[in-house]
Amino acid sequence: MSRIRAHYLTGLVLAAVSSAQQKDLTSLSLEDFLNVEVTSVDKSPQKLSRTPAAVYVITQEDIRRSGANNLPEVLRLAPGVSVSSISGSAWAVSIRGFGNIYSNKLLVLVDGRTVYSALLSGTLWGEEMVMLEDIERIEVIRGPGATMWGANAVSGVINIITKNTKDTHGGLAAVSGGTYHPIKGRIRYGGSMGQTGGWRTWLQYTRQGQAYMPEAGRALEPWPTIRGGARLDRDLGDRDSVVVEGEVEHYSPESPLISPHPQPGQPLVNILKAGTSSGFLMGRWRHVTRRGDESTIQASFDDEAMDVLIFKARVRTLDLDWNRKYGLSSGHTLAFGAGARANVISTSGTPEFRFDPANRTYGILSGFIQDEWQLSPDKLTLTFGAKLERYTLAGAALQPTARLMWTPTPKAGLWASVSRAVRTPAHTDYAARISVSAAGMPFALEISGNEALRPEVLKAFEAGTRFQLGRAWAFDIAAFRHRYTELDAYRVTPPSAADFAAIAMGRFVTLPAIAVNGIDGWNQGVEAEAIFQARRWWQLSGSYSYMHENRSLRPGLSPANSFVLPTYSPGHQGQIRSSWNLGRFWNADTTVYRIGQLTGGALPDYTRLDCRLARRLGESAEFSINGQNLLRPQQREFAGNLMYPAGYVRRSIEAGVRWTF
Amino acid sequence: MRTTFLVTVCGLALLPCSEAQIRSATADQMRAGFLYQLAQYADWPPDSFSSGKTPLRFCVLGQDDLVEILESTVRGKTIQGRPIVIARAKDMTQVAECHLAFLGLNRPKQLQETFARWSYPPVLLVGEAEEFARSGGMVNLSLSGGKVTFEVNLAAAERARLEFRSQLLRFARIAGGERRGAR
Repeated sequence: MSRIRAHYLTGLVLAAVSSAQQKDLTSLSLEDFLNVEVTSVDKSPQKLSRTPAAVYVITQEDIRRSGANNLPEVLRLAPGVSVSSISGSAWAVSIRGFGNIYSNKLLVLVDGRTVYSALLSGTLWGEEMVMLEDIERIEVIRGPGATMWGANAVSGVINIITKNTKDTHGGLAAVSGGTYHPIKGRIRYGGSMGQTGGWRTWLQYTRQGQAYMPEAGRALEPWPTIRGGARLDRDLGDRDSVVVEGEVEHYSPESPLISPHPQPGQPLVNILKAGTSSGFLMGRWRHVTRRGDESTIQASFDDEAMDVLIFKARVRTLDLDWNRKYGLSSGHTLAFGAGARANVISTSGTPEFRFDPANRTYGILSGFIQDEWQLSPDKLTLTFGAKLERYTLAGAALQPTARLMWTPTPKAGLWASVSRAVRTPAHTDYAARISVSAAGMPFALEISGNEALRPEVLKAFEAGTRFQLGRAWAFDIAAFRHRYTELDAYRVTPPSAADFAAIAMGRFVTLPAIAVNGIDGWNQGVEAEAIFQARRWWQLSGSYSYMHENRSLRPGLSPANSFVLPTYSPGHQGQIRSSWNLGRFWNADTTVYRIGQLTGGALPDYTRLDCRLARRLGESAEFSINGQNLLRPQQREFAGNLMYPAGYVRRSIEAGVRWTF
Repeated sequence: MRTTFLVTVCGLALLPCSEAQIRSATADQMRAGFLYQLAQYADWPPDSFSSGKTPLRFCVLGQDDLVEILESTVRGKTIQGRPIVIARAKDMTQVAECHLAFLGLNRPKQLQETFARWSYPPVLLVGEAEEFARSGGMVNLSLSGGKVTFEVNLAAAERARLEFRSQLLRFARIAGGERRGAR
């Protein structure tokens, strides 16, 4: 649900760790003091270690120091998140498995507004080139969050929260460019409206580099995006506040497309220009009652028009949410709410990729209730609740959860949870009609969606611990077992005797394949993170995650009569990051990533090195040099899919300057 | 090109580095720093000190992590010529013995009950909860958004016979009471 609950608004326990450092904040003037940045954004430190879920928070400082060019690159910072650049304008971002160009079990929200595509079942990252300087923090939740956020919050949730306008007074201008990304320019200006409100407006233009496509023998052109928007925050009296925000954007990358029916002598991969325009408007009203309970109403409208090589589509989404938090004196905090959403989809396709029906409206109605019960004050908390949702075609689904948090001391906690979540079929799953063949093969596959598809179901069992050792070390470890039933597969009608006869006579045969709930399986693994404050000026952090996937076909399906659209995630991945504050003006950050081979050995393991060096110029400017993919001139990070091949991402070295005024 | 770059950016790991100056700090450091800064711009009634050298007593209720950091932050420092002592307070009775207290209370109900029973001796009550100042606390700090911001309830301060200097108030959001002529 949209209004993010306080207990999810957490920094990690790790925030407390760097308390080992000492800095002389007392020698500053008040004005300078108030300009010092807080490296962790925890709202109340007691709550940090008390989130009964695998949560990681990426702060604005992390984002700036990472040198990331865009949102998917920022997400590399979070442990257990797999980020692969497919072409430079498309990414596979996944948590706990199912990585693909549209990772359909990961829910992404920006300021409480879901950006999960109801057409394609996943996030179109090219559209989410949020201005990075405006992000306050990103909460990355590994594992299901369906009781709060509803369908598709299955294997993970990414919650992007942008700054309140009171934190963006004045101007910001930044520009960077280099060997791979020709230019990124952004400008923002904000101010206040009396004592009670603020505004900001922004404009961003980027041309980011794209991958080398071996099949085409060249690199894709850098892709342009432009976006601009405005936000207004206003307090209405002491207990009410409103936010209104809107943004429009357009991007048009050159994209690779594997020819649906490749012919000998013709190129296997065609490069075409895709284009997407979208915009949204959202409003939120928050009321705090006299006793401190909170209620929120949020409404948003999104409109998106895409021309994606082989089909055109327009998706309009209207979303309405109401949430209420209610504290009871007996140690219970109730949260409940209701929501409604409509996705109006219209498409026009080609013989190779179309939708039947071409147009449809999907509706979702939902209600949830959750109780946070303090079994023993500040020591033991049980959070339990459920969301009931009703979807067009899929019917109703219940998504309950129970989470137990035990914090014997402020520096250590243990948690365990069990939850159920569903991934509902999108318009593609219900209605796509795709025709593909392979060069030299005497038959084509006619793949079709299926309106009888049921939601994919997850039952998740998780447990974790967070603790500090001494003043310099902090750890966060989680283990999970995700049991999936009724995952999507395709059932193929095998060639009949007549088909074989036709093939023998040199004729071309068409085999139908239909989407079915054909697979059960589980993903299980562990994720561990450690932070070490080596010196006052030097922080080291590292993480490692391991995942094992297991799949089995349901009765009636066999390898001879079925196939699965593959997803790819690494079994092992790890990273080590070093952050230095060198003297008064310099920062240096180095990150080494080690990514194990992808599912089924689809791509071998590789190492990636990113470095950034920044120098502050006075109080208001910063100059930086940033290098990514430094170990190799180019690196493939993904294995491609049915129609979209993966290219080689090139090394990037760029320089940038940022100025606030 | 490649080698040069790697040496420049990454090779610095091997060099000894000078100590960092303050550009960013953790939340608890900021809380401690804020209490020190705040106390410099507050005035207590003369009868709350027995002499000109009487120490300023800073107390922390319910947030033990802060005590250590606060101690190291103010070690050897003085405010308005007074040394500072740090104490852990177990309850509001002990808080009444302090000059400045950080209250680690955040439940609205808890806050209301606390302030309803509070007789407003000259103790500067600082908290960090949405409703802190509005419920009857004096200064509420917030670290959201990466910067320290704070609101001040002037009516509550007046009840406790405390005064804030204008240098402080010009950065504050007023959550109760009226701003009067600056000193």
